[in-house]
Amino acid sequence: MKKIDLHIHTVATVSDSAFEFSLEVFKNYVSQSQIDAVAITNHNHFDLSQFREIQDALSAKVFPGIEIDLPSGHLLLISDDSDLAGFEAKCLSVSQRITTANDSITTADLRAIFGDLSEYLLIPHYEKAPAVRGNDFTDLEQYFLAGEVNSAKKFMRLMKDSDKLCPVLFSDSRMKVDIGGWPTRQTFIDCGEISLAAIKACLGDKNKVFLSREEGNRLFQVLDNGMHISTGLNVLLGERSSGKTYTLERLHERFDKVKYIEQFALVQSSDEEDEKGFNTDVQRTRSLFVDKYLAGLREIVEDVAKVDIEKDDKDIEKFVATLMKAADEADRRDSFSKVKLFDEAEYVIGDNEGLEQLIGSVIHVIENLEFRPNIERHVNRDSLKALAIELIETLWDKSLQNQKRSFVNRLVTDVKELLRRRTSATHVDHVNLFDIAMNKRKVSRFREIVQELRKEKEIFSETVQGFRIVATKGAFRNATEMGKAIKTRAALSDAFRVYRDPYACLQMLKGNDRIDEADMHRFFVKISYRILNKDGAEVSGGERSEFRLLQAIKDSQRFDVLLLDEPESSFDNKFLNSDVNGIIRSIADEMPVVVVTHNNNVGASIRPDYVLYARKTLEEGEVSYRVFTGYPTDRRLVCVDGTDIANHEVLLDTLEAGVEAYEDRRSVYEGIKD
Amino acid sequence: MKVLKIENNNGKFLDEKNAFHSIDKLTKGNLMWIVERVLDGTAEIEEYDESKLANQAHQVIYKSLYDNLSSLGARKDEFVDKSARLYLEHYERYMDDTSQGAGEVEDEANSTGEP
Repeated sequence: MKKIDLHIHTVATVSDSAFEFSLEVFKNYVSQSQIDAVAITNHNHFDLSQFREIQDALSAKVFPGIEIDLPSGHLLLISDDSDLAGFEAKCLSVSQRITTANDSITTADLRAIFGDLSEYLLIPHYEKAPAVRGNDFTDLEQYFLAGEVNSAKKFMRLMKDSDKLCPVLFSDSRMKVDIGGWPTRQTFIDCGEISLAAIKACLGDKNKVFLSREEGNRLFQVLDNGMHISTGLNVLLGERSSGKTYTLERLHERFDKVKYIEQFALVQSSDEEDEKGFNTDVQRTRSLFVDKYLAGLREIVEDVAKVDIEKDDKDIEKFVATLMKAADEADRRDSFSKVKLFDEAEYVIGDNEGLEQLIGSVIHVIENLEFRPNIERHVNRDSLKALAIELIETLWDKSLQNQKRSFVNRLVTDVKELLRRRTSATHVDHVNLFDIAMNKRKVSRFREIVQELRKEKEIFSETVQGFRIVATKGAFRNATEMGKAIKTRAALSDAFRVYRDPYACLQMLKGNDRIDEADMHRFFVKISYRILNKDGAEVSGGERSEFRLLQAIKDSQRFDVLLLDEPESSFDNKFLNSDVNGIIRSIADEMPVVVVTHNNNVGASIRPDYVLYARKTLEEGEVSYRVFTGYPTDRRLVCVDGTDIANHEVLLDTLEAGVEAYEDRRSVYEGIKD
Repeated sequence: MKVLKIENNNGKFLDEKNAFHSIDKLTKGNLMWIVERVLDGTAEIEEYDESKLANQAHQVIYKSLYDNLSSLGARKDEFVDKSARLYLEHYERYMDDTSQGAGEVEDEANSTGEP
C-alpha cells in the first residue's frame, strides 16, 4: 500500500497568499507522515530548479505537476519525470497566459500546449471548489481517472457511487515555514513500485484506492500524530476532564465544515426559556410562510387604512346641511349668490384604471403566440385589433375629457371662491358620492375577509422527523396575544376593545404612533404554530428538546463531520435509545460522526464502528492527553504512541461507573427479575 | 322605482320604508340610501324642471340632488365593475384556504430511519 499526496504547493503565485517555502518542512512532512509519493502542483507555474532540489532532498517519489486554472475550475496535471525541460517549457506557456488571479486557459489551449493529454495524470477539482464543470469537464472527461475531494465524507460518497469518478483526497498544502500541524489528507493506493503508470492503473480501479493503509475505507487519519477514526460512527469515551472536549476541539480544527452540537446546546435553563427558544426557532423558520399568507391582507389593510368613513359621513352631513340652508335662503339671495356658478358642483374625475386593464387584456390576447390557433378559432384577429383601437381611442377621449374637466373645475373653484367672499349666502359643500359609496364597499369587504380569516382553521402542516408542525389561523383572545404578533410594546388594549369590528380596530391601530403601518395587518388574525408529537398531542418540554436535536442533526448533513458532545445531557434514556441512536446511526452511514458520551445507552447500545478513549496523564509534571482507539470488538485499544489499554475496562469504567458498580447493579437487577 | 320626483309643484324623495317626503326633509341617511339605489340600478330620477317647482328652496335642493345623482348614475357600471373586483383575488384565496401546506407534506421521519 502506498500513501500519496499529489497536490502540494511550494511557490506562492498570484493565486496564493504569500508564504515562505521550507524544504525542511517538506522533508519532515514526507518522512513523519510516511508518504511514498508527492506531486508539486503550483498554480499555473512550474519551477524546474526548485523541483530538482526537492527531488534530491526527499525520500519519496516526486512528480512534476501544475495546477491549472480552467474557466470553470482547477485541474491538476501531473507528468512523469522523463522530460523535465519539455514539461517546464509547456508550463511556461501556461504561466504566460495566466498572469492574474482572474485569468484562465481553455481546454483547447490545454490540448495545444500539452499535446496528447493521455500521457499525463489529469485530476480535476471534483467535489471541491472551484470544481471543473460543464463543457470543461465533458471536454476532458476521457482523461479523468480520479477527481479530487476535500473530505472523507465526500470520498466515501463517491466510492459508493459507481457513476462517479474515483475520489482522491490530497492535502493541497503549502510547505511553508509556519505550517502548524502536518496535513492529514492523503490517499492510499494498492500498488507496488511507484510510477505514474502504476498510479494511473490504481486510480482506474476503485478497489485499489483507500483512506487508510491497513483499514481500507473503514478508517481515515484525522490528527497529524497519526490518529485515525472511523468513516462511520465513533464513540469518544473518557472520565470527566480526561481530554474529551480537548480531542473534539482538535478534531473540529482539522475539518473545514464541521457541525458541532455542544453539550447542553439543546436544553435551556428553564421550561419557560425552553419554550421561548423553541417557539422562536420554529417561528423563524416559518415566518416566510406567514408573510406569504398574509401578503394579500397586507395590501387590503394598506388600502382600507386610507378610507375614513367618519369623514365621509361628516362630508355627507355637511352637504345635506349646507344644501338645506342654501335652500332656506333661496329667496334672499344677493346678486353674487344668484350667479349659477355659485351652486355649481365640480365635475367628478373618474380614473381610467378599468379601461386600461381592459386594453391590456385585449392586447394580451392579440399578441399571445402560444395559443394563437385557439384564439383565432373563436375570435377574428382583425376584430380584436379593431376593438383594441376603439378602446385605446376611448381612453384618449376619456383622458382628454378628464383634463378638460380638471381645467373647468379649477376655474369654477376660483370663481366660487371669489363669489363666496362677497356674499353672506350659504355655500353648498359638495361631495363625491361615488368615492364615498366605494369606500363603504371597501370597508364591508374588508370586514367580511377579516371575519373569515378569524375562523379557526389549519392553514399549513408539515411533518418533520415524526413531529408535525401545524399552523392555524384564528382570532386573538386578548391584547397581549395581539402584541406578540410583532413583539411590540405598543399598548393594544384600545384596539382590542373594538377587535370585533376590524375597521374600528384598524382606526385604533392607525392612531397608535408606536405601530408601523407596514405591520398593521398582523393584528387582525392570529397565526399560531403547534408542534404535535407522534400521537397528535402537544409536545412536552422534553419532546421540544428532542425536536430541536432532530432538527440540528438533520442540519448536519450539509457538513463534512458531525461532532456531538454528550447528547444524554438533554434527553432521557428511552428517547436516546429509540430515536436519537437510530438517527445518529443513519447519519453515520453518510458521514463521519463522533459522539462523546458517558451514557451506556449511547455508548454501547448505539453499536459504534469505532471506540476512542481519552485519558489525561501527568508525566514528569507535564499534562499529556492520550487517545486510545480500536474496534468495539478489539480486546485492547491502542494509542498512536504504542501504549494500550483493555477495552472491557474502558467500557465499564466510563459507561457503567466501574466494574464494581456494574456487578452490583447487575445483581440488583438479577434479584428483582421475575 | 322613482326615488326623486316632482309632485304638486313640490320636490319629493323616497325613503327606505317606501314613503315619499318633502325634499327639504332629506337627511344624510336618506341620501345614502338613495345613493345605494342609484348604484344598484333600481333608482329612477325625474328630471329637474325649474318651472314645475314653485318653491325656490325646492328648486335649489332638487337641482343639486338631480345633478349629483345623475352624474353618479352615469358611472354606475364603472362602480359595479370596480366594486366586484375589489380585493377579489385575495378574497377568493382566503375564503378557500384549505390547508395549503398540507398537500406538500413529506414525512421526513421515514427518511432518517428507525433504530
